[in-house]
Amino acid sequence: MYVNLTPQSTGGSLLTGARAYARWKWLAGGLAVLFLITYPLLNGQDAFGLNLLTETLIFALFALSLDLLLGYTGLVSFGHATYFGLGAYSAGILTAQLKNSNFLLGLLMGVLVAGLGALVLGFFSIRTSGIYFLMLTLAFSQMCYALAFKWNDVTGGSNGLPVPKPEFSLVGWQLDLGDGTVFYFVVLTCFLAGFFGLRQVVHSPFGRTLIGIRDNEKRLAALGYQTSNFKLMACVIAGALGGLAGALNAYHNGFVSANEFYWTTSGLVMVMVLLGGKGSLIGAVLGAFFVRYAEQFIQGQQTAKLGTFVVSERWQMVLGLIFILCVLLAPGGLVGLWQSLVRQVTRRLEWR
Amino acid sequence: MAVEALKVSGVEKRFGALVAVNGINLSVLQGERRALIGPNGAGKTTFFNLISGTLPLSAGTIQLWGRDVTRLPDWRRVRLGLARTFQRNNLFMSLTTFENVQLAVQRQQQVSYNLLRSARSFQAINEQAQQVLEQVGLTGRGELKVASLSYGEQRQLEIALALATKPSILLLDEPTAGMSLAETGQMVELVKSLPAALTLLIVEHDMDVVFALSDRITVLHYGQVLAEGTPEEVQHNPRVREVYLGEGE
Ligand SMILES: Nc1ncnc2c1ncn2[C@@H]1O[C@H](COP(=O)(O)OP(=O)(O)OP(=O)(O)O)[C@@H](O)[C@H]1O
Ligand SMILES: [Mg+2]
Repeated sequence: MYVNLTPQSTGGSLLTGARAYARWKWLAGGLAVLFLITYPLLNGQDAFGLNLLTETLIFALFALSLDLLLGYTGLVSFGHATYFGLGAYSAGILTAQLKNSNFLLGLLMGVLVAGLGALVLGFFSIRTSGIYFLMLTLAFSQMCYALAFKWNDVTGGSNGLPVPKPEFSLVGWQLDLGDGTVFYFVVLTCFLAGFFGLRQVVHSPFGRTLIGIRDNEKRLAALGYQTSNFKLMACVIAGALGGLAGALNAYHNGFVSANEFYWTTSGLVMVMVLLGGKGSLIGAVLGAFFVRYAEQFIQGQQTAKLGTFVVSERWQMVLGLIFILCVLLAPGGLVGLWQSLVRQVTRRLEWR
Repeated sequence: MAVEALKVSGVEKRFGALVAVNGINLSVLQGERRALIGPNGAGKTTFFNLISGTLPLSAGTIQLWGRDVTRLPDWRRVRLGLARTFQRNNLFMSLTTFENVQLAVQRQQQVSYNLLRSARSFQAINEQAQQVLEQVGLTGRGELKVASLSYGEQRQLEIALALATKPSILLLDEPTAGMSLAETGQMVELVKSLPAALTLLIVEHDMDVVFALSDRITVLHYGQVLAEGTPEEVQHNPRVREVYLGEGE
């Protein structure tokens, strides 16, 4: 079921291509991190832009967590919103209902509750696979949605839960999270920690095992692996990271609603991963950036019309079209496109 | 007295109305080289699937060194020293040749749960993986994706994965199928070079390979044991000649 993006050409050019690609990757990655660090310093006045970038990084973190399941382990979870929602409500309930405004505690709660949720739900869902796994994870998330919607006293029900500004203090070190730039750097830190943490995981023996499960779970069992343990651990890691993203999002918006659990949230993050390129951490991040910024761009085109069709009001439809094109023409997503481009270029250069 | 490595009693496997394995009894001693032969559809692969735990059986019992493993899942049997290869190449297609073997070795060396170190940084694993690749004749092919290996090389990798688990009983399902003459010769040499204490069951259609490798032969026909004995005995068994060796003569 995994689409192999790498070329099946002769060994020599394949290796040189891979090496050239690795060089590009480090250069581009370094520049991207530099850009993310300097952005608020260079665009201090642009509160809107900073807000969008903060939100995008939160979703990128969310997409990364899904990619561990979807791209690396081959578990098509269509209920990843469950963990986003659990993280968001953990932080929200702690702050709004329990009147504890400790930001770090809120994040910790988000991570723990979502991780625990993933342990319990994963325990049941990994017993299935394929379409059944997809349906079961979807069903769990919709159950959480219904619960959040109905349980007024705790979740605020259909009104949602306003989340007051939290406070950050760590052994006497205080930060003003009300300041957009400060909050941005907190999110950036979480994002980078999540990215490089996951990078470590996917390159570890454990991560290799997940790829083995995606490629050929039966063969892995024939090598002595108890694969269900690995799948469950992957669920817990992905759930915990998704919970972190959810908690950050709750603090960022100052609001939590049952929509965090809704299937559209799961669908959105899945589209991000698939558009960017599943099975690649960079891909998940690119996908999140692409979706968020394309949305912004298209909704800004107030005058663009096709007959009576106002493009800017039909973002969902445009995204759907882009997605269909991607599935048909570039099943490896943005990363797949980029890889084949690099390959073409290096092949041309070698022929000279 | 030799130890009984594998004992199979009254094993059956039904697929709906089809009885693929119909009451097989088999006893293989430690260090024995046993060939399983029989016409297409005789139930050889299904029988291997039952021994390795890939498929649940419909009736009967299976013992490894006197221990009942009938209800044990496949991965537990591997940890008791049972390894197998597959008739159709069954590899990790998005990984390189070396990474395929690494995956088998890291489980054998019990570091698969390590999340914090790079999989490439385990010296002991790398050395063992390299050694297994050498053993099967894939030195120098390690950095290639499995998909860019030739079919014969994929067969060799199939065996490498099984050997990397350090088995004491090895089941080979048609290891030379689809191989060139030269590759088949190499495969025979490889199997001959395996330690004498290793118990080997091999399903093979190439009779030259069978006679070169086996101490004893079991002939399956319609899911049942038709004959069993030394290569000499089986070769001269009239019923075997009729249904199997005599085919096409
Ligand atoms: N999963 C299955 N479901 C249904 N029938 C099966 C299944 N696996 C095998 N069979 C049937 O069981 C019988 C034995 O098949 P098996 O693959 O064990 O034969 P074999 O001796 O390995 O043959 P070959 O020499 O062609 O590999 C065949 O009739 C086959 O069609
Ligand atoms: Mg067979």
